[in-house]
Parts: sequence; C-alpha cells; structure tokens
Amino acid sequence: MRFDILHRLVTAAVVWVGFGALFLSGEFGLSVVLPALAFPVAGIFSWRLAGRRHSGRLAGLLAVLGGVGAGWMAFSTTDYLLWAIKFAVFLACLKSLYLRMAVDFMHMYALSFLTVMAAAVVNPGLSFGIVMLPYTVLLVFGLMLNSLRQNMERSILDRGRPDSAADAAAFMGRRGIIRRRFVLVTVGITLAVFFSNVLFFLLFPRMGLGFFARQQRQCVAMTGFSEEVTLGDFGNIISDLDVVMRVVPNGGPEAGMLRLPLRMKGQSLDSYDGRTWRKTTPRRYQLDTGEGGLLRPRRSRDEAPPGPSFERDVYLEPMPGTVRVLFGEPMITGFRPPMGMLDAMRTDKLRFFADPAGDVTMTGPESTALVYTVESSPPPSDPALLRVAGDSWPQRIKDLYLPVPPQDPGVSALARRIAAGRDNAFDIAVAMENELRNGWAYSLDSVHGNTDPVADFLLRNKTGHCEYFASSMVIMLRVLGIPARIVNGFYGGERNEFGNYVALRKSDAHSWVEVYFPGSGWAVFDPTPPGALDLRKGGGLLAEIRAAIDAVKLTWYQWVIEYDLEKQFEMVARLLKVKKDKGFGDNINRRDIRRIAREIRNLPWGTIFGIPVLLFGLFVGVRALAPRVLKGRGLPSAVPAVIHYRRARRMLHRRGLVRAGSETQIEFAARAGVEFPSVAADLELIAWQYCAVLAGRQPSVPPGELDAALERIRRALAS
Amino acid sequence: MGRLKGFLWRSDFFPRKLSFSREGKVVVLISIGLGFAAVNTGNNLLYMVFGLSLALILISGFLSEYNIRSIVPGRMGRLRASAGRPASFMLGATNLNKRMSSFGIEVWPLVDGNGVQVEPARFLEMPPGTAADAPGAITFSRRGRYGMHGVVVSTSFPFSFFRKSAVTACSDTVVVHPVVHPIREIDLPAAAEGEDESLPRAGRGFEFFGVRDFRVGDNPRNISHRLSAGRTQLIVREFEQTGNKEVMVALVNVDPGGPDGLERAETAVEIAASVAAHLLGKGRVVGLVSSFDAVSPGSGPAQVERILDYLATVPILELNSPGEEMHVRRMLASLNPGGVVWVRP
Repeated sequence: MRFDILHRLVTAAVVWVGFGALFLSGEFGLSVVLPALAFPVAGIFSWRLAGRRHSGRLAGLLAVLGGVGAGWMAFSTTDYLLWAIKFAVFLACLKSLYLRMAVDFMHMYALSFLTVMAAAVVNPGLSFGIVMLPYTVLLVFGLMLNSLRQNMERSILDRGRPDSAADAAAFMGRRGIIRRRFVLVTVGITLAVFFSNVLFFLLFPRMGLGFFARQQRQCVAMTGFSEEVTLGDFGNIISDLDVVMRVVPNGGPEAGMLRLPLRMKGQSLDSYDGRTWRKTTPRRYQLDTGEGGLLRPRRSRDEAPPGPSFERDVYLEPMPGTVRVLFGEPMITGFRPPMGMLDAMRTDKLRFFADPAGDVTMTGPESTALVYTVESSPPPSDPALLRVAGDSWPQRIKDLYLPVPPQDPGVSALARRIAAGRDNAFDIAVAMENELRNGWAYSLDSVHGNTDPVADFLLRNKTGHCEYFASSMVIMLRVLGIPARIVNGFYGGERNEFGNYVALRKSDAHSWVEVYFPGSGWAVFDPTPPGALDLRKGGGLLAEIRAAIDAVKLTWYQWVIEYDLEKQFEMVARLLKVKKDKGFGDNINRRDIRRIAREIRNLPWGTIFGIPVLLFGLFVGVRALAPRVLKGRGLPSAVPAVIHYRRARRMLHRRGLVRAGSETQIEFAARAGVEFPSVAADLELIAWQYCAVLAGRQPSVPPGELDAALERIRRALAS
Repeated sequence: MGRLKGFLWRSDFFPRKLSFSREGKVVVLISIGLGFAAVNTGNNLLYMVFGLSLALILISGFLSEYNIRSIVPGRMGRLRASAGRPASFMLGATNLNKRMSSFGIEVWPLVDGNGVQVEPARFLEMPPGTAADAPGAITFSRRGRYGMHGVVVSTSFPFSFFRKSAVTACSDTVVVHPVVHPIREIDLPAAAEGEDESLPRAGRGFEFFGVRDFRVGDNPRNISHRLSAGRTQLIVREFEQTGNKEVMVALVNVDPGGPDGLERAETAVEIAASVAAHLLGKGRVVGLVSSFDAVSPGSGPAQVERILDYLATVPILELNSPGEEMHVRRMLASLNPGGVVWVRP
C-alpha cells in the first residue's frame, strides 16, 4: 500500500476510535455521531481540498463560526462541557478534510487525544477500556508514520528546490516503505507503551482528594426504593437485566457459596393510601460505629434477641438520589461501612441512618458504588413459637402497621374467608400466603385501575406482579387487625462463576410481606408464586456471556474506576502478604497500615538503595575521571577488537594498503576485501568489532574468533 | 544562554542532548494539564489517559536512544565554505546493530559559532548492519575560522516529540572564506600590464642579480667557490625573478566608522577576495597586503586558497586613521609590485 494512503487510513482509524470512546457514552445523538464518523473517511479521499486556493481561510472561518456557535449554545444551555466536546469533534471533522503536511496530521492526533480525554470524563463504562487498547495501537502506529512523513518532508522540502513538492508527492506515493520490520517495531513499541501505561496507572499515587470533583459513575436507574412508592412501579424495572448488586459471603469465595435464591431486604413501607405506599416512620437517627466497626440499628425491647449471625459483602451499584437504601438479608442486625483511612479527610463523608423500622439508609457522595458488609440473623420462622406469640402488639406497632384506607367490602370478605377457622396470626398469614400463591396468577403485563388496584387485583383481574401480591396480603392482614408491612428488596440472583459472586439484577426486584409477632419481631412471608420468579431468568449461552461481561465490568469498576489510594495500599498489602483478598476487597485500616509499614521497614533497604547509589556514583566518577585518565591514549588498547584491528591495519599497510582520511574503517575493510577476497569476511568482521568499540559498545564476537580471523588474514597476506 | 547551550553540546559529561520539538512541547503541556486534572478530579480514566501520554514520552526516550546508539558516523572530509552560501558535504553513517533498523537518522557536523545553519545528512531508514552516505549542507553567515567539535547523530524517531542527539567527538576547524563575487574586468595600473620580463628582485630566473652570504637552505649549486675562497666564508649567487608582473591587492581593513562601517569593511574584504580570485583566474601573479599582514605574491589555485584563507580571518581594525593606509603603502613599497589594486571600505 502507498505510504500516503496507509498513513491517512491509520489517522482516520485513530480519529474513529477516539470518537468511539466518546460516542459509546450514549451522550450524543445520531446528528453528531453520523457526521463525525463520516468526515474522517471523507478525509482520506478529499485531502486535495487542502491544496486549493483559499481553502485554509475557509477552514479557519468555519472553525471560528463553529466556535462562536458552540460558545453561544454553551452559555445558553449552561452545558459547557458538552458543547466544548462537540466543538472539539467539529474541529476534528474539519481538520480531517485538510490533512496535507505532517503538522496537520499531528493536529489531528492532538484533537483525537482531546476527544479521548473528553471520553474519560463522560464515559466511565467498560466501553472506554475496550476502546483504549486499539486506540493505543493505532495512535502509536500513526505517530510513527507521522514521524517518517516529517522526516521525508524535511529531507525533500527543506532543500528549497522548485521541484521539491513534486518529489515529496512522488515519495508519498511510493509503495513498500512500510516493511515487515517496521510493523514488528510498531508492535513492540505498542506493547511497551501499553505496559508502561498500566504501570503508571497502578503506581501513580492517588491523592484521593479532589479539589473540584470526585470520580463518578453512571447510576443504575431504579424506582421502588424511595420513601414513596406507587403501586406498579416495580413492573417498570423487573424486565431490566442491569446488575444492581453483587453479594459474596464475608471472607470471599473461600467462605463458601451462597444459597440461592437470595433475599436482600431494602426498605419497608408502612402507610398505604389506596394507591401509594409511604414510609412514615418517625425519627431517623444516625448510626455510630460500635463493636467491631459495626453500625447496629437499635432493636425494639419487645423483639427477641437475634440468633446466630452471618455476614455478607455487598457491592452496590451507584443509584440516583442523595439518600440511598442499604440492602441486607433479613433480619439485618448490623452494617460495617466502607470507612477507609481517607474517609476522615473527605468533605463528602458517608453518613448512615436507621429508623425504628430497622431500615438503613446512607448519605454521601452521589454516583459512586458502595462496598459494605452486612450482618444478618435469620428472621423468626419457628411456627410453634410464632403461633403462641399472641396479639399483644405494642401500641407504636399498631399505630403504624394497622391503618388501612377504606376498602372494597369484597376484600374484607375475602380476608375473613381465608382467616376462617384459624385462631392465630401465624396460621392466618400462612393461609393467606398459600391462597395467594395458588389462586392468583403472576403477570408483568396486567393493568389495574387507578381507583383501587388491590381490590381490582384480588376480586376481578386476579393477575399481577409481586407488588400486588404483597400489597393485597398486607391490606388483608391489616383488615383482620394483624400488623403487617410491605418490604421492597431483591429476591433471586444468579451465581456468576467467572467472578465467584451472586449477581442481583433489576429483574430481581421484589416485594414481600413482613408480619409482626410480639416477642419475636418481623417474620417474612412471600405470597408471590415462587415459580413465577423463574420466568424472569434467562439461561443458556446468552446468560453465560452476560455473566462473563458482568465479571469483567466488576473488575473494571473495582480496579480502574474505583482505584484509589486505599486500593494501592491493598495492592501493596497483598504483595507483602499482609492481607488476603476478602470478597470485594477489604478496607485498609490503621492496623494494616502499621503492618505494611513494618513489612516495608524490614525490606533490605540498604541493598535496594545502596546498589543504585553506588552504581550511580561509579558512573559519575568514571564519566568525570575517564577523560583525564585516558587523555591522549585514544581507545583502550587492551580491548581485543582494537588490538586485532590495529594489527590487521599494520599488515595491510605493509602490503601498501592505507586507509584514506575520508574512509571509514568498514569502507577500508571493504576496499581491502576487494584486494584480498579470501579474507574479505575476516577483515569486515574485525572492522565491525572495532567500530562497535568506537561506539562505546562491547564486541559481540569472542576474542578467540577474532584471533582466528587475524591469523587467516596474516596467512593470506603473507602468501 | 547560547554559551551555556554550546558548552552543554560540547560537554562529554552529558552524552545525550535533548531538545523538544513544537509537538513535544504541546504533548508535555497536555500531559501536565492532564495530570493536574486527574489529581484534582480523582478521575481514574483521566489517570489512564495521563498514563498513556507519559508512556508515550517515556518510550519515545528509550526508543530514540536505541535508535541512535548503534549509529557510528563516518569521517567528514575537509569542508570548503564561503560565507552566506550553503556548502555541501557528504556524511556517512553505519548502523552497527545487527537486528534492528534505525529510522529517521540525521547526521551533521557540530560547529561552533552563531549564524551557522546546518541542513543535516538524512537517512530515512538504516537497515541493520549497513553503511550509507547522504548529502548535507552548512551555511555560515560570516567568514572566519570555526571550531568543529564533533559529528552529531540525531533522531526524532519514533514520535517526533523531541530530538535526541549524540556527539562523536573530533577536533577540527572550518575556514569560511569571504564570498567571491564574479567580476567582469578590472582596470589595472599600466605598470602591471605587460609580457614576461625580469623582475627587479631575487628569484628563480637566469639573469645574475647579485651575491650574498650563504644561508641554510640555499641551493649548494649556487655557491660561488671563487668568492667563497677569497672571503673564507660561503657566498652564493642570486638571480633575477622572471615572470608576470605582480599585482598586489591592497586592502585597507579598517572600520571607517558610522553605523554601517563594519558592513562596509566586510564588503571590502569580499571585494578584495573577488579581485584576487579574478586576477589569479586570469593567470596573474597576485599578492595581498592589508593593514594587518601580507600574503606574498603567487599564482594558481593554491594562491587563491592562500589569499582566501588569509581573508577568512583577517580582522577588521577599529581605528580608521590615515596611518593605517600609510602602513599598507610602506609594505607595498618594500614589495615593489608591478601594480596595485586598492580596496578601501
């Protein structure tokens, strides 16, 4: 391929890939994407425009007009970043039509680099990482080709001859300039650049303190986890396969695998107005760190003490809103927040709150993922104990969890029919759970009226999703005077074999029921037909691919997007074997830092620093003293290659061959080789080795071989 | 600053010299901006792009080193240069590396002084183990003697962010002649015109001129044994010089003063060089006298070189007094030439 065409193709590819990193963010519409992708391709063929008269002025005018337009739009929409990026894209498109000299190509690479910088801000997704590798390859190749183009231009155009432009054009049209060796060099350089980049990325100290902003990620859009949930909201997200959280047992995969399905409670809601569930629980209070770094929500005195606890590590994807719900398996007894060593210095600190209902929320930086440990105990489930719990509910429970809006008489009648013949709350709840599971159908498509969706679900439509099942059961229990509440969370999950965790997707969002039993607390009931939840799950090869992508995404988020000073310490801690990998990573605390410091102190610093310092001192000393010591001596005569060359030169001199002043040693050897063809190779070998010494390198041929060569020369010249 | 730069280029302590290209400066500025943005925002993807730019700079440094370290420059022949005109040279280079090619190599002589413009000998690719020659050119803005301290091997490969150079030391001088302008005709004094004749001074002619005491280096065949025996010391015969009538170019190499005085004096030097070259080209015997020194008369291309070499370094005297011209006249009188061409600023 012609050099010029190849260079233009590579440049267009660099621009394309740079744009790709930007456009994969999804922030730009087709009206920007399509022209932006078309211009670099057009530039491959339309470069002759650049040579036309006034074309430069026209380009400058267009750039100014574009800048004014973008500035005006930026100020009128106050979206400065977006319009600055659009202007950079416009400039890159314009420049792609005017690629003529090496400097134009360099401008193109700079603009492309700017688009990648912009992409780093607007596209934190895995797509950016996927694009970076081809971008590095193409950029390195493009820059190298541009370096060659620049050399060509300088060597041809600098002469200032009238026909030099034609020479340049002829040179650019030459084929075979890029040979296999050049491609190999490019590959080597690309690998070196890539690994250097990885090293820089890992080792460059993260300050962890942004003066202006913090690393943010795109949030997972969620409904149903605020303090006000309209019935039917879950139906919008259940069909979505985005991963919301990933769960492993505390201690990592070594602690064993979780049993599926996994139930992760989010938020309970108490008040229902016939259409919307609300949380009216009073007095949210801030949680303080307790024993073992755990934040423990207060427990009611009339609840039984929690049983044996277990811990889960949760990686919670960023969600919108300043107040975020924390999830855990019921019954949640404590949280271990991600309090790292830098948190005390942060202005946007994480704060954790609990309410009397036992739900935990947090405030802190938005659009960031959260890794925490949640401690849970099994909820009360012993039928014998729950049957005898009685009906002496505390007043605050009755106040919150018994009110119901005016109901359709049919709903009350249905509740009483199910409860008929049962004398305790537990049996009634179990009967109601079974009745709903068996008598009503699960559907995501059912539509219920706005007036009384629960009555519509229970009495007429008889199909709905989990919210309708749970709401119906809560309303019927409350009608019967049994305190109950609806709980929103996640239920299900799929094991990810690639990442050794359980992933819960939006499609696992679920509502269920908690019923209060005096002396025991909140027991879990789930009236949704269990088989129906399996309908949401996918399977086969597609699920495998989805799992693999999710594992890669998690690695990307953890080790690239959320890589910070603590991660760097964690990496050092793992290298020094101070800490083991526990789940989604364990926070580095002061004790770990002390251990790391101790390990680092114990490293052989004398050797690590002493040897380089000694070598540097030697280098400086030799450099400073060598010219004085060797002054007047020329090359070190003890070096074999020098001895051999000088002897060979004397022999040739005796045969009348003298090296001319303008002749290099190798040229002289070649000339002597013409005179004495039998030893031409030996003469050349000795001359090459001598030149190597002249260039400050060690001879690459052992002295024995040089001895043999010299001996052959001696014999040839003697005969 | 220029002196410091010159010192650094000549210094052996820094074996490699770095200079950033315009693109390199932009890349470094972008990298600094990126680093600042990355630290301030904590955006790891900006750290990644920052890492890419740093990696490009670092690898560029390593590769440019690898690219030039195996290149051995060839010797440079004697450079003949005139001020203000590019002087061509051929420079060779050998790639001692037996595995890898070197790309974008430039080689040029390292010459001291301001106003020296070098167009290097360029090698687009040097395959492993090959030697090649390439033309280059050097332009000196002023005449004079310039020190040459080595041959520079340089490259901006692989990314043209900066240029790395290595100097192979050698010591030489370059004499830059004044510009010789073409001259159509010169009106010579009548005394300088004429055919071959005996000139009134000792030389290699055939007519007897006189006798004198023997000096070391005299031809023994010219010893007059009769006179030597009479005086008890060696006496030699002298003969008259035969040849063209000599023309002396008399250069008054003084600054006449005024804002353009130095320029006028330099122009006078160029005119003197042009006149001498013209006359010597016509086969005349030409010498040169200046307020500073003199070049004895001679002819042929060697005499052109001698005069131009002399004029390359002849200083411009600061005092413009009539005494300087008188000094030239006295020197001319002692030489007694056939004709004199005066060149004054």
